Amino acid sequence: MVYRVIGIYILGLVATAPATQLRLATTSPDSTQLLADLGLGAQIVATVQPEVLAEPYRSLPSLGSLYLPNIEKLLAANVDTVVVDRSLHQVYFEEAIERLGIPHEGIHVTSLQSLLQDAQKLAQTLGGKIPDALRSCVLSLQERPQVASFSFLLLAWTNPAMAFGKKTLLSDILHAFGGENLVPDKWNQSYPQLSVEWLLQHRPNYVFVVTYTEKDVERARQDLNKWWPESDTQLIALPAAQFSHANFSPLKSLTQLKLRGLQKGACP
Amino acid sequence: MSYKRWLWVLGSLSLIVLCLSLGAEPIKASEMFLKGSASYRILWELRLPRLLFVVLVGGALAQLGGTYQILFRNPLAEPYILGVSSAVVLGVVAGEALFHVPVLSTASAGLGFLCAGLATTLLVFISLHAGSRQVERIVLFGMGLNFVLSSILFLILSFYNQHIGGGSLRWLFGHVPWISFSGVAVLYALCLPLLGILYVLGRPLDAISLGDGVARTLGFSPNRQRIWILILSSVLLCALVTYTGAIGFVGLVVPHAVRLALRPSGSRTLFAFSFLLGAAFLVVSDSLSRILLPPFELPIGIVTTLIGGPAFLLLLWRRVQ
Repeated sequence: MVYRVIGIYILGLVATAPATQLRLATTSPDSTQLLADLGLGAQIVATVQPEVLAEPYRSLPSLGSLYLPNIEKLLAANVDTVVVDRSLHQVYFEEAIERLGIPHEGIHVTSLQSLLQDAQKLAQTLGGKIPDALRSCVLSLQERPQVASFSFLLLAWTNPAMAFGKKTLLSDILHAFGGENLVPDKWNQSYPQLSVEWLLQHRPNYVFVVTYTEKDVERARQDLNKWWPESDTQLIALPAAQFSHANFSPLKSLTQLKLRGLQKGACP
Repeated sequence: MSYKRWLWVLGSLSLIVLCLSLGAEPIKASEMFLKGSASYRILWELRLPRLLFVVLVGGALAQLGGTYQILFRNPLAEPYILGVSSAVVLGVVAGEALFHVPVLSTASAGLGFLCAGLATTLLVFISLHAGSRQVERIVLFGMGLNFVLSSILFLILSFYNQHIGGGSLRWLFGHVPWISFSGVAVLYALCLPLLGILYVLGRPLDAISLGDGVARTLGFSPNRQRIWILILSSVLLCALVTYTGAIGFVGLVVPHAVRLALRPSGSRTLFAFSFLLGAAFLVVSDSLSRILLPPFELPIGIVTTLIGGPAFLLLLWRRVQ
C-alpha cells in the first residue's frame, strides 16, 4: 500500500510530501461516481461499464461485465487498489484478486449510514475527502426526526412491479423524510417483485418510479391507474441518471423528490 | 497405434498448448519470464493453472459420458442424466441464496457433496432393489430426480435471483473459475485416481455392454459393477460440478465423436481418447469464451453447445454420407 502523506518531523514541524498517485480500478459505475465525489476520479484507470458514465470516465478502459470483471484486463492495467462493489456479488472476481494479492476495498451501500461509512473508509485508505456539503447533507438527513408521515412504494419498474426494499439507499433517504416503505421487512430482499394482488391491497400516498425516458413515466402512470383507479396516490418520476445509484448522486437531486415539507437544508 | 490416432493425439495436444496464448490481453514475449510483469502474471498465475484445470474437467466429463453411455446402453446418456449434478447445483445455490455461503468456498462444496451424497444413496438403493430391470429403473429414477431437484432450484431462483447474480447464477450456466495451482493440485489428487479406477473398470464395462447374461458368463456381476461405477462416477462428477457448474455437451458429444472418428475397439481406448479430445474441446471452448467478446467472458456452457452442436451434426452427416 502506498501512503498518501509522508510526515517528516523537523523541529516539531510536520511537512507533507506530495502523495504518489494511486492507480485505482472500480467494479461498478456507482463506485466510480463515489470515488469521483471523493476527489479520486483522476486516479481511476479502469472500470466496468464505462459507457454508462459521463466523460472523462466514459473513455476509461473497460474491465468487462458488471458481474464478472476481467482479471487479465485488471492485471494489465497494473492497479494499486480495486474498489469492489459487494452489492453485485462478484464472488469469482473477488476470490481471484484475493488470491493474486491485489489490494482491494469492498463497499456495499444500503443506507445513509453505510454510504457515509464506506465513503469515510475509502477517503481514509485512498486519500480522498468527502465534500463538506455532502457530509452535512447525510448527517442532517440522519438527524431528522423519524416520524412516519406518508407511505410510499419505490419501484425500479412497474411491469412487473419491482420494488426497492427497505435495505436500499433510496428507501432510507425517503425514510429520513418521514416516509414508510410499504415493502415488508420479512421479505428480506433488496429488490422484491410485487404481485398485482399485493399491490391492490396496499395503497401508498406516493409511488416513486425510476425512469429512463418519458415513455416510462407514461407507462408508470397507466399502471398506477390500473392498480388504484381514482386514488390520490401521487406518482413521482425519478430520473435514473440521478436516482438509480447507491452513492451520493441521489443526494444532489433531492429537490426533485417534490415531497411536502422537503427543505433544501444542508443538502446541495 | 495407427497413424490416424497419432494425428488426433498430436492435434489435440497442439490445440491445448496453442490456447495458452489466447486471452483478453496479449502476452508480450519479452515479459513472459520477467517475474512481476503483467504478462508473466497473466501467463503463469492465471492462464496456466486455468488450462490445467480445464484439461482435467473436459477430459473427465468426456470419460464420464463414455462410461454412462456404455453402462446404461444408451447413446443419449451423459454425466448429468442421473440427477447427481442437479443435487450438487441445488446444494450450492441453496447455500448461497439461503445461507449466504459463497460459491467456490469449502462450505459450498460441502453442501454440494452432501446433496450429491443423498442423491447417490437413493440411486444405489434403487439399484439394489431394481432386480433384473436395473438399467431402466436407475435411468428413469435419475431423470425423475433431475426434474424434482430442478423444480426446487427454480423455486429458489425465482425468489433469490438478485442476490446471486455474480455467483451461482453465473455458475449455473457452466463457468470456469480463475483457480490457483494449489486448487488445481487438490482437484487432480481427487479426480485422477477416480478416473484411473474407472479406466480399469473398462473391461467389466465391455462385458456389460454385451448384455448382463454375457457379463455373468465372463465372470462379472453386472449389478455390483454398476453400483461401484455409479458411486465412483458420482464422487468424480460432484467434485467437477462444485467448481464449474454443469457444462453441457462435452460428455454427450465427445465419446460419440471418438467413436465416429477413431472406432475404438474397447472401453479403455474410448476412455483414453475421450479424455484427450474432451480436454482439447473444453480448452478451445474456454479460450473462445474469453476472446470472442473481450473483455466480456461468456459462460463456457453456452460456448460448448454452440461449437459442439454443429460439429456433432457435421460428424453425423459425414457418417450418413
